[in-house]
Amino acid sequence: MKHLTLIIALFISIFSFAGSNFDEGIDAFQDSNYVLAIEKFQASLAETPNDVASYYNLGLAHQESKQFGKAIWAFEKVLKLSPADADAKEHIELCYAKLNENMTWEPRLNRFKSILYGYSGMTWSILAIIFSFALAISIILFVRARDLSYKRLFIALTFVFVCSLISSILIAYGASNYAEQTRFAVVTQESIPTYKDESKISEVTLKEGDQVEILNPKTEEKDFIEVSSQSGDTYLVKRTDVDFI
Amino acid sequence: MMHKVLSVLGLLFCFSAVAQKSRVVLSASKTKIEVGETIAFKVESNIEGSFQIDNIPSSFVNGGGINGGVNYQMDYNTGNLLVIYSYAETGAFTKPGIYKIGPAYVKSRSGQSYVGNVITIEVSKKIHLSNGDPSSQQLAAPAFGMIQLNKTSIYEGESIIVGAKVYSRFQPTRIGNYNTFIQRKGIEFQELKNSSRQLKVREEKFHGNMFYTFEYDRNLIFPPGTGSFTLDPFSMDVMQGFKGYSLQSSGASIEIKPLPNGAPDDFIGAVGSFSVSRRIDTTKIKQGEVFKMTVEVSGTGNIQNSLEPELNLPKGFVVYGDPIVTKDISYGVNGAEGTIEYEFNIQVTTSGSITIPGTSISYFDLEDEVYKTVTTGKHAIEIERDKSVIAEESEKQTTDEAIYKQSASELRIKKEVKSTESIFGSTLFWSGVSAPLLCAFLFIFLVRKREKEADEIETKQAIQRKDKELNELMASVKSLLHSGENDAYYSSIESALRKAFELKMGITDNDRILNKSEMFDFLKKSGQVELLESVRSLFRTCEESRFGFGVSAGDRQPALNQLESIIKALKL
Repeated sequence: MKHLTLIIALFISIFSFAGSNFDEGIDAFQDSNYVLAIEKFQASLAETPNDVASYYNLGLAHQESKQFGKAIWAFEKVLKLSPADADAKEHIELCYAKLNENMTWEPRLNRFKSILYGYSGMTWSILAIIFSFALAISIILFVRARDLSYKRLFIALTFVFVCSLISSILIAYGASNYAEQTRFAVVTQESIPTYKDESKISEVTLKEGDQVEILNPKTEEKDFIEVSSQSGDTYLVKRTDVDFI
Repeated sequence: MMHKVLSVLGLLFCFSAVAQKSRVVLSASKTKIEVGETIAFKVESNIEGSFQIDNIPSSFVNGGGINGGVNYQMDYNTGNLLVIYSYAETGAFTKPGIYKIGPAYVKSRSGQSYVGNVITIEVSKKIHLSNGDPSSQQLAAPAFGMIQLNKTSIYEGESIIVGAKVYSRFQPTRIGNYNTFIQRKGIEFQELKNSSRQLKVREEKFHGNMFYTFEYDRNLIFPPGTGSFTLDPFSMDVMQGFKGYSLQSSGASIEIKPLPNGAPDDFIGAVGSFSVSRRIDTTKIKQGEVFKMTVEVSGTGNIQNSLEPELNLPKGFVVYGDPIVTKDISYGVNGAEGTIEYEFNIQVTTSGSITIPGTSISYFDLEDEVYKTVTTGKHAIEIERDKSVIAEESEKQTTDEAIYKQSASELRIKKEVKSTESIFGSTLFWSGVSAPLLCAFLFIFLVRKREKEADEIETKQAIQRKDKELNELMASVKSLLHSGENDAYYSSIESALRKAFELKMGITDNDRILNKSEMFDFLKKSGQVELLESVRSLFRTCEESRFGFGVSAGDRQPALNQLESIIKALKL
């Protein structure tokens, strides 16, 4: 009984603490204390790592602090969790406009994919299973139907469910990959050096807001990662110099 | 019918009358006055009846009479027309002091009394204006004039009381051709109400001589700017009967000190004593909607020249247009006194539970000679989020800075945790997808198999039935062999032959009648030519025997034998 009480108390304290960081972040933001707001939203994310609202508010706080690279990273994280978030897209465009008017940003997902991936891979996986059930029932009914008109109806339904099943499997694959893989990173510092090899710095520097594609995402233990810039050039950059989306 | 309508209307009227909150408000035209200064007390109420103000001291002399009246006001919240009954007493205090006046009472016709509020009036001693020393030339003249002031050094924005005073060696009865000391344009002044244009001549000893003297044209002046401010001399003809003397006073100079440095940001340019209050018309609103915020600045000093207060609104609150300014100001010896009401329309672009910080104003306090700040209370407001409003607002904002100001309104106030975990690709997922389909196919297979087995059983049963029927037919044939019923015998042979073929060909349908050509075709296809000939021969024998004559029992036996050999050949 003592143990149970202790566990309940621990849970309550954890939950109350989790709520407070987020709320305190909002209060700090409303008081224009953006430094504290950033700290609080980061603490909130440490507690609930996939909280879209915390990432979004963190992005706003960075934006207000004129830390546009970090704001872009936070809003990109929002898009990763919620690809159809129009507000986050708007803010990323705004941050790029503030960093450099010549910088343009294109969302990685088109509008259609954004909407589809807006529902998680889990949702689409469950839908695929549901469509599979529906297809099975439709096939059975088709086989068992004696009346020709019913047979026609069930063959049409079977066709629809086959298409739905295949589509949902493909979307589930895409959405799961999009959410789980870390393939992109953003430069949040004013500028970072790039390397030809691990000991030789190249002349090219990457500026705040530059986004790079990670070419070998599975080499997590290495200090340097091979990246490809938007222009298609490949470099080595220090893992610690970029923030992964 | 009409009675009913009237009753309902009457009832509604009664309800509305009962629902209407009784209101008795006592107010004064000024709260700080001097002895002898005119003041009006006013009682307003929505109750009709007899009015009474309690605690009016004996030092108050009613000089302006008692007035009553009725006003009509529209209540914009309810849309009802309100009838406001008013009662006013005008007079002046004869003694200085702080007086608590009220409460006011209204006794309705039904005899019920409604009580109002209490107000405090500060009555100071009569302000005596001082004047400078006259020149020897003035003292020698039959009459001379002096400009009188209550102060010679004031702060910027502060008011002074200025009056004309005339000393005469003869008793004046009237004056003429008066030119005031405020001749320059751009000087803000107010003639004080208790300044009499009637000559109240009295005797006064001045510089060792007795003079007839009177005061005239008392004004409240708000001198502009800082530095030295000069008042022009006044001139007039002092008359006794038809004889008169033209005089011109000396001028007067006032030093205007600038206000000290370090005025707070929320300084509204007011000098004197002030307070501020604020109210909002709603505590719940939808994002994008507009609410009214009314800020009321009250006090005594130069309130008429005070600036609009800064609202200090949180982000996401946008003042919509200019405020509606309502001024209720009266002028007295202490300066301008009254209230300025600023009604702001505020559009809300943010959402959530937001506390609007208090609105503060700062003024320069003349008694303590320091800046003082007063603040209203906070207001909490609940704003319901409306996504479309943010989108519209974003389109409206053309500059980046404007968009930044919206950031607070875009804060997301509820956590929205998304799961990145997916069962896609897992055994569970593929099992979930494939299992229903496999089950469906298995189900179909099993059902088909079961149906086939049922068909087979049915066929077997049908064959057994036909076999039984064949045996019965053979027994019938044998029994008819010696009966002499020729037609029946050969018909039975034909029937037995057909049944044998039905059995051989696996025809289980009872309704189907096998014809000869089908039997012959079957035998042809199976290459049993001899048997075919034998069958044909048997059918021919049966037909001939059935329709021929004189067939004996001994002739019938070969047909039976042939039938048995055919059945044997068919391997049944």
